[in-house]
Amino acid sequence: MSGELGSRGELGSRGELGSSGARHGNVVARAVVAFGRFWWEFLVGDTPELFVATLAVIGLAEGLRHERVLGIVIVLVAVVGFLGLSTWKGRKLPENK
Amino acid sequence: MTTSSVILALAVFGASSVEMVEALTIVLAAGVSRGWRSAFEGAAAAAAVLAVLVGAVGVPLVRLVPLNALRVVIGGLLLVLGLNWLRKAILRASGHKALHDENAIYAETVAALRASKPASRRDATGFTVAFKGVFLEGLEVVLIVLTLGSSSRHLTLAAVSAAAAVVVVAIAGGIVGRQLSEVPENAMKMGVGIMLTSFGVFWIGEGAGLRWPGSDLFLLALVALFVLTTAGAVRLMREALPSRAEQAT
Repeated sequence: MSGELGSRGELGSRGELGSSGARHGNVVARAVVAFGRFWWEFLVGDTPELFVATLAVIGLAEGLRHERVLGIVIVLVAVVGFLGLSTWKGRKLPENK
Repeated sequence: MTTSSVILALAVFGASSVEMVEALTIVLAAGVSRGWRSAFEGAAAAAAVLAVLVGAVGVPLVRLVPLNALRVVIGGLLLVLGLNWLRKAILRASGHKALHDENAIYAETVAALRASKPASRRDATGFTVAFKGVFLEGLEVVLIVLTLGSSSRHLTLAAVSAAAAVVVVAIAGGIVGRQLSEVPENAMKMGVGIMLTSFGVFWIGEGAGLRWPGSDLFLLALVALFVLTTAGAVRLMREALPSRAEQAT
């Protein structure tokens, strides 16, 4: 996560609001949008495959909980495999200058 | 202290240190260009808000949510976060992605903030920039503290480890008097990514009902597995790096 700086336009827009009700509604709406955006960036961002991988790992762990060793092996292979695939997807390609 | 407590403390300390080095760069840039008083006030206000968040969200989480459900959800969050950190660290270590450059970020921030001079000793821009820098970087720390702390019922240990990292980075920054560009940030991120991924897999398994051999000690095996995986991945990815001639075509 990077510490993005707020633009001056963003700061200045707070003073341009009308009534206190509109201002309150605006603040709540912005907070909800910012909250949603934070979680979207946190969970999905530019690597949606890792979010899907996590759901798959949870599903595998739940489904294989009665398979003692096999369950553990499959879960670990899945995590390593998903990490490898996602990293490979992010590699620099000759045409991606 | 159990194995998982030690790894938990190390993971939270490492993650918090990395994030706080990034926050320190922004606070120093705000202090140098807009005045120290506003920068310190902004940073302190953000730290206070983050501490309140840990107390307000963490304590009810630990007391009210059923442990197994909490562990699966939190393990999932840790796994997403850990895999992302690990992927980025592997790409950076193998040359597929540029390293995080604190010097460049510092210079860019100072230049942007110096465009207009502060009107008085209390400067709203300096306060806001320092607040946002510490708050945004700190949010990830709060998530790590909450997830690791609540799933293992060691919220206090996690919070103390994060606070220790904040103090250590602040003191180091104060002594050095500039942003900590010499910190091996990518190596730290890699280490923390390995620990977060290990904890994520461990808690998902615990919550789902998988029985890890050796219980808590299996965390060490997970850490070893991801260390080896990371080392192998860095090596393979270095070999897959296009040559300069290929990149020029």
